[in-house]
Amino acid sequence: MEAQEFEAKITALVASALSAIDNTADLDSLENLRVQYLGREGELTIMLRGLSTLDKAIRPKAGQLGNQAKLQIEQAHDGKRSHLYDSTLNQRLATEIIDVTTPGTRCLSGHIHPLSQISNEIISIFYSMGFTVADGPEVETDYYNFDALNTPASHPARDEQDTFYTNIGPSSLLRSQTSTVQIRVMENTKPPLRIIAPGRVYRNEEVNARKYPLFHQVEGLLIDKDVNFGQLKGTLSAFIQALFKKPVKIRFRPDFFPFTEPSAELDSECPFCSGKGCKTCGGRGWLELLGCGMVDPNVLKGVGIDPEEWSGFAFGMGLERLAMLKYDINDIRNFYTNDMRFLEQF
Amino acid sequence: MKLSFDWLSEFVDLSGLTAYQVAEKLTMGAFEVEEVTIIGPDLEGPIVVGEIIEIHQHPNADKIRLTKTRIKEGEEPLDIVCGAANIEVGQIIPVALPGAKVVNRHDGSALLIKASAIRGVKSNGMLCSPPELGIAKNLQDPGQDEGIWILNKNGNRAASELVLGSDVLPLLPSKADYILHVEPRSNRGDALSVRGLAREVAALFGRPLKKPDWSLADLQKSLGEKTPTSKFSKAIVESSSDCPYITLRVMEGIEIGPSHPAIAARLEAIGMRTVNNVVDITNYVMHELGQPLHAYDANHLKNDHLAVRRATNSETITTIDGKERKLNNEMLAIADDDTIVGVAGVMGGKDSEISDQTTALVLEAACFAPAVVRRGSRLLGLSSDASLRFERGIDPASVRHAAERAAFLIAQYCSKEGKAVVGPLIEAGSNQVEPGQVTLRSSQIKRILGIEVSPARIKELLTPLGFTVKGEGETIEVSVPSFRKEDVKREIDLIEALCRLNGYDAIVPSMPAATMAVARPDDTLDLAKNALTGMGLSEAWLSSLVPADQAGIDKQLAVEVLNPLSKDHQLMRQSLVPGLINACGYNQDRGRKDVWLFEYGRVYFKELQKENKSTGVREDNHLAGLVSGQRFKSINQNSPAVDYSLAKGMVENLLSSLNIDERKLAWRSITDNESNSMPWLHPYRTAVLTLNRPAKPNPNKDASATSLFESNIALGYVGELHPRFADSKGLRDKAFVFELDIDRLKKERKPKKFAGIATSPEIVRDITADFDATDKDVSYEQVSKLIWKQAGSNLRNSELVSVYRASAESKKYSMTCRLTFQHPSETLTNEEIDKVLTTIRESLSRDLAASFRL
Ligand SMILES: [Zn+2]
Repeated sequence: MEAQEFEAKITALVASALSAIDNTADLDSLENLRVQYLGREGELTIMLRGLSTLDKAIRPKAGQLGNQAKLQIEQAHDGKRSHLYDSTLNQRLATEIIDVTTPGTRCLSGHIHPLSQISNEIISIFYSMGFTVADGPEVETDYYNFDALNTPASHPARDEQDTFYTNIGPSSLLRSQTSTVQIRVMENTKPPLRIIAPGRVYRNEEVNARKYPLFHQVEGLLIDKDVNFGQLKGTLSAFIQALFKKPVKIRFRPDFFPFTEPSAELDSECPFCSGKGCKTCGGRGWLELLGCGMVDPNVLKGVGIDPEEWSGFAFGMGLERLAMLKYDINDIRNFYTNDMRFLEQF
Repeated sequence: MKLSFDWLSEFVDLSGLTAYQVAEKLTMGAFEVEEVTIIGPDLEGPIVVGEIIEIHQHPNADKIRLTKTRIKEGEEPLDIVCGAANIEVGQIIPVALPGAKVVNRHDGSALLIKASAIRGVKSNGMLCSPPELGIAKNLQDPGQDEGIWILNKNGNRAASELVLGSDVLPLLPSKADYILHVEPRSNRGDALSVRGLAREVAALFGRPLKKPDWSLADLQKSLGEKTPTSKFSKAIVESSSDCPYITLRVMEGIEIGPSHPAIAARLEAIGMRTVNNVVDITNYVMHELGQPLHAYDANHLKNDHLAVRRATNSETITTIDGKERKLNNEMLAIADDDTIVGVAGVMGGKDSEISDQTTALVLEAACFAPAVVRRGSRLLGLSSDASLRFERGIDPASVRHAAERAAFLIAQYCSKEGKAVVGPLIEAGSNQVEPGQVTLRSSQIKRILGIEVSPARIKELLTPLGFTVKGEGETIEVSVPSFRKEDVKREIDLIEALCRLNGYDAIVPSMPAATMAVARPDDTLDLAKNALTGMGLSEAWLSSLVPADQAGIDKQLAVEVLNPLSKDHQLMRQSLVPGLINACGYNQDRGRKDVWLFEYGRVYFKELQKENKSTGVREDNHLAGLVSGQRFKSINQNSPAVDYSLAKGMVENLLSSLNIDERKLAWRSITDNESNSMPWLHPYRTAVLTLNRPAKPNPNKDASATSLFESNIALGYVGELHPRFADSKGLRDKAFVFELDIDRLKKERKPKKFAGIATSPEIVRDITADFDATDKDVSYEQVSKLIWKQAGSNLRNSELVSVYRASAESKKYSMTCRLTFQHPSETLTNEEIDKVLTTIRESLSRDLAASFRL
């Protein structure tokens, strides 16, 4: 075959291929054309395979022409393909229009109870100060609930805490304070000690917006050498600032508890009236947050700790009270009704 | 206790202090003042005692008269116009002079007195009626309602008070006063009185206490020191431990009437009902000095003595409140031989109470043991201001002073025509109190409080409270006054007092020094709660006190409250689930369709065999959940309802989040006994989760007890709510529940450790087994357990991919399990796997009657 003849043939092939590609309307036909010309048995592939039979003199020239032709067809194919892909896709996308503002599909979202939340917050603050969590039974004996806490049977405070008694035995009762855990820990662990004990307590009180026969306290105890009242003040002041996450004006007001001496009530300035006096604080301008004091030497002696060697402080706070203050909840019964409309706000 | 600021000022110098300053100081001194209220009229002098010398008709008005009123002996009387009808010459009356401020009796506003002319006649002041001086009407003689207050009527006024020209204001009951509402302290009986709080105020402000300005002896002298005619002469005490000390005193020549306005007003100001002049004085002295007193009508006592003794079980008394009360041997009684006239320290008897007819009385002031008064008060369900004080302890050494004070006031204000006879003090027992001695070490003050308090300062702080302080250096000897003997026995009690009086603010905050090793907290609960909230359950907190008829209570193991608040709070719960079901109903009743709740909480079981040092109750921590409603909320499709499979999947996810090896666990159907013991569970749609090992015999259980958790391998259950139970609770939708013993589950957690990711090829084979339930009902759990047992160490995963049943009724079914085999490092051959599969098929055929299609 002469060079001119080969050139004419290949030019015609390219022309027919480009025209066919140009006229193609869909990706499938385009793919068929690619196979027809460029496939293993395609027209151009066969023609190029025939180059070896050509005259040596024209072979380089023919090879060059063949490669140019292949490139031309490939380019045309690729260009057409990308064009057809885009237009097909655009057609499909147009069928996929939705209102993207409709609400999403939702599982319920679970919420942690506010009392758990505040309890966890308190625990983590004390945890950062080296306290660990301790636990004790709710069905207690009068020894742990009263006697060991320096509250003998003749003590008037024993009546004030309307206690529930149980069928387990004459000394069995539902603990009225988490201070019981102090005693159990000190009985079993040698000082130094730093514990925090959250838990449920019971008092025989009529149900109303402020009272429920069960509620929750967090008790704390620190026993070490040379622990003094100043450290009690320092520790609890730091705790309150951390709990409320802002500076809170507080005061330590003397009080009496059977198992601490000296004892104090920690008050914060009423956040609802900034100390001017309102309904929430009963006009006092201050709100009681927790009770605390230096552990009474009788309590230490009772558990075999020498009060001349060790001293310490204890404190206790009501979770409901703190949660009601923090979240502005006005009825304690909300905590136990478990209305989802309540729970889902926390 | 309500404390009158004005009354307080009789005991301590309050000059320059406001009631609010005193309240603040008391609050910061451990006697919290909850509230300060203002009472009484706004009066200002000069208001003086005057005498009507002449009365003339007003020339220009019918109802108005013109008086000449003398306000100073030897001086000319003043012209004062008066409209009241009750005035007579010779009456001693209060006169408001120009410049005075009184109360407008028509509207209660302030009325300023000026010299003026009334219908052409000059008036130099005003004769005052009780309302104009702020005296409430019920204190007056009813006949005086619209008239001028006649001070010398009824012989109730002591002549000494009625000096012409003397200031009326100090005599008046109702100057403006401030009432401090002081919270009583259970350990400070000594402070339940004006005098007791005065001591605290004196110490807190460093002010001197005032000395009493009365003397019974002087008054007796002025009364002529007559002796009573009554034969009454003895007090008999059965047991000195019940009654260490008692005083009695006969008083004759008594006339009962309304109280002196000053006394009545003070009692009213602190919220006490006035009764009559004698009873009011006993109450007055109780508030003033803290000593309860009782007056008996002497004419109603038969014998010459009163006895303090235990009541017998057959005796009764009608108390002053009119109620008949049965007595018993635990109560202390005041007895007129076999007639009980009072429950000691609690309340007196009706028969011998002071009445309008009383002319002679026996006045009792005593010290009764706190415990016996407390017991009597509890047993009778009767508590009084007196019992409140006796329960907190009365100082025997202070009894006599109070007895004298009451006798003084009675003689002064309840005397018939000024002829009261004050008998001698009759005593029994001893009022001697050994002074307490406490040694205080300066080093201990520093150790406990973190600050130094100098010996001089200690003396300054403690002396006003009646302590005597000796010593200068490390050791300071403190003697304790009798009235503080009960609450100050130890060094720490003194340190407390010093801390309080010196002010808590004086203590500098610091942080404790050494921190000890930080213990690892258990994260089980946090992980579980995260998993459950992540799956959409919200946390509930439920009551652990449940009704007496709570479902599923194992009576034999029940912890019961003996004095419940109500039937709804009688038992300690044994399961969390009934509470969750109630909460579900509560929410559904309020229109809530999807209720997904969980609770972490305790359950309580009585121990049949009490272990050493145990409280007799086993308290387990459970984690329970309830789901009801739709799986999710969507607008695009109907969301499928929650079902058993979802609930079980939640539990499986939970176990996985706690990193519990499921191969240590086993699921099985609930037994009839178990579902009977928990009637909220569907008998055929409840799975029980146990440890995969045989149960040990439980010593705390007899065969009849059926509570699921009594088995020591039981971990919990998941199931559908029994339709009958759901109906009985009015649930509107199916609900699914689970409950797990988290304490036991916790022990099965394994530490997290990365096992690597094997790169050797996995071989996956399906195995399909056919079963016939008429022959043997086989569960997936049985199949799975057997596969794992037989598959050898190269089985990585076994998964149920389908269960096929030709129809719901069909007894024949097949299960297909997809098994994944993988060796950690080598490539397994098909021959090896085929061998394992053959072994599995053989044992499924042998043990579970499975057949295989080839
Ligand atoms: Zn406020």
